[in-house]
Amino acid sequence: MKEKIYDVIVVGSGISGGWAAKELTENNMKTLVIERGPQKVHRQDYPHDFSNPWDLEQRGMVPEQLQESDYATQKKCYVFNEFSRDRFVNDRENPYVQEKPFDWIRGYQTGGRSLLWGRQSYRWSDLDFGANKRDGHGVDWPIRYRDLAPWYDHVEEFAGISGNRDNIPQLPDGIFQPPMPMNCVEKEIKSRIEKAFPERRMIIGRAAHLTDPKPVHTELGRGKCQYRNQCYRGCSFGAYFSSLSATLPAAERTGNLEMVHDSIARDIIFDPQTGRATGVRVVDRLTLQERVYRARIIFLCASTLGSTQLMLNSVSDHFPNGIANRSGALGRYLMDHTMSAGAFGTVDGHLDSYYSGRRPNGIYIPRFRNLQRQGEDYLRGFGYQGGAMRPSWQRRGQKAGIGLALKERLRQPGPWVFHLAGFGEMLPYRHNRVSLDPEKRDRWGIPLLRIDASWGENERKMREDMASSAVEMLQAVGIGDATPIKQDHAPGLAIHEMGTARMGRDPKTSVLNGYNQCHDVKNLFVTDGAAMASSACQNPSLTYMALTARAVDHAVKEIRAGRL
Amino acid sequence: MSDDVQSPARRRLLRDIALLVGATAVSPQIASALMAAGDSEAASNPSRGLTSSHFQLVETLSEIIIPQTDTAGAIGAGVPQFIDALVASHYPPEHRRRFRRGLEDIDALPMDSATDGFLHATQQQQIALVEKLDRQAFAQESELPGNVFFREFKQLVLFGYYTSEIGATEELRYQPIPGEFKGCVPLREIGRAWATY
Repeated sequence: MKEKIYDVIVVGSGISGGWAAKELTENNMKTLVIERGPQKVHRQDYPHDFSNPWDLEQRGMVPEQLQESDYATQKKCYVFNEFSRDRFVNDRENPYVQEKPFDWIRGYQTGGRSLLWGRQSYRWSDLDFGANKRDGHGVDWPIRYRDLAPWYDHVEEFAGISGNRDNIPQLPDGIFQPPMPMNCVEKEIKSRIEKAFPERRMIIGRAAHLTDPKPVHTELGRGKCQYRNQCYRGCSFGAYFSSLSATLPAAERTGNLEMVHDSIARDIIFDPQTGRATGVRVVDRLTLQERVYRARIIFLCASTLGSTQLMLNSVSDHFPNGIANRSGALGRYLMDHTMSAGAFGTVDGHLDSYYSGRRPNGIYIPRFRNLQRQGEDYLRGFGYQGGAMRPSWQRRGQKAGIGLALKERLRQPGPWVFHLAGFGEMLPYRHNRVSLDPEKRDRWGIPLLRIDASWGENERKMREDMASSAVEMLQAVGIGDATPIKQDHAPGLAIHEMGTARMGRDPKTSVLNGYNQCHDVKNLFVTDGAAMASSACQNPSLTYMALTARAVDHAVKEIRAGRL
Repeated sequence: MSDDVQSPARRRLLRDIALLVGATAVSPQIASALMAAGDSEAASNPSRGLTSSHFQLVETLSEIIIPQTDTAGAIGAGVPQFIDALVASHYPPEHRRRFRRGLEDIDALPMDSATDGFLHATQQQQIALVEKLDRQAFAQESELPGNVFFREFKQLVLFGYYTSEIGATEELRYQPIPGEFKGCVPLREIGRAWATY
């Protein structure tokens, strides 16, 4: 029997893999998506979508022993609980080596972490694409905003990003669904901040939720956001963007998609005669059997560290240090965002106003540091996420008081509180790297990933400013009890891990070219977070989507021109 | 329902009520709360993580923290059953032991009159003691075991109560599917705090 050869194999079905599958199949490419985790079906596999808190005996808490034994790292994720546990990896079964603490948060299933993501979606600008060139850290990005802008348009329209057109140069506007509203207190704080700090803006968060679905969404069965704020449980309304709700169904309806699950990509097969990748060898997660899938083009979308681990494990005489790694840059320049630094405090008044519905989104203050000129004692910058709300029993019970008085107090919402929490850019350091463990292997025979990453002085200085500038802003809007937040965390926990197969102009110092195509292996593309040459301070998923769609467009044009 | 009356859980509950009613000073409040609890689903779970005397302590303490008023209190909302289940399946053994010890320590605290432990004190004495424990626990960031235990216990009571169906839907306001977000609404239109964020 003749071996089947696909036009394209996509490894991974998360945010990037879903986009690759959609764009490729819509371009008539016979596409195989290889997913390492079990199959999850939209709606059918959201067991707690409609659960009330009291429907679970432990009301959503994960038993302490199970947390320790099986979720020692995953339990640190802010949405890890019993309602969502089924879409996090089991750390005991999926080990990695931490040379220094690194929290690797993972979801292995159809849709990957697109079922868990925070949905904040911001464009980068040339402040970001030009950052490495400007201060000399990292290699220059081979693209600029104008290269990606049409692809941001393309992915935003389909994904559905709610947001306001704010006309902020460092945070370009996009094709938006109607914005979610601010509450009364946020509106007032916005006007006070913008008055006190003319160069700073406070905007409603831009988030991947449908607020006014269009036919492109409804024809896939997607609907309007219901303001439940429990997206991480899975959303049967399909209101937030995920591979399950959007890109994979779009790929499927073309008739050009095939998908295999429980198939862990072990290595990429390279043909030294042609200089091309010819297939992917997988280990069956359940039977441990090996299989090989062949294709003309291969797209790696297995997540930042997943794609790099796979490349490092693809060794041959030609590429003894990992496929397409003549530069030696593969595995290096790992980044994340530095977070959990900011401030909170109590807002006086407005006690007769409240809100209705649970908005799965907050406010955003775009970067205002080091814009036109370098003004701080650290490089680059940060943005704040935040919001105003009235806490209920969750935060107000922990002080003295019992009985009737306690009950009556907790019947009413508390005073308004406002908080700002920064997300800061991390520089690409050569010493922050991943490699394969020379001895330890997982149960599928794949060498464990060793992660060796730490913050630098620049991030430490930036965090100081993230906290003190937040306090300063809160005080300026009249919040008397403004209190700094500074919680140290290991890299990884922002779940914005990026880099390790960076894009660049020079094959000697980078792995990928300006189209996410390996310099050394032309038919191998990497379009997830591994490709990032710098981290900016915006949430990165939207940029992965745009890079992926753009890379597919390039690959398809090259194939049609007979060059690939 | 007659089935319910015949169920082991129901029988056990009635036995527990009888025990409490037979004790020197059970409050009518707690007794009626127990009766009401017999109708709730949560209350039909047999005790799993706590002995019967520990369970009584949890009932009495939690109902003093969140009493029945115009809405059900902790017992009516099934909080003791929630705590019992948590101790049984959520806590590792060491935490379970610590929790039981915390309950026993409260029961062993000297009461003002010559009564035989917390459970046998009068309701006034019980409330006075819990008020004192509460004040101490939150006075400073005291790390004395008794204070740590009380803070944990109170947190569990509040969590169990406000995540129960009664706590969320009758005591507070709960919308499973709001459908829309309104950023500025007069509080009086909603009336009470939202149970969930």
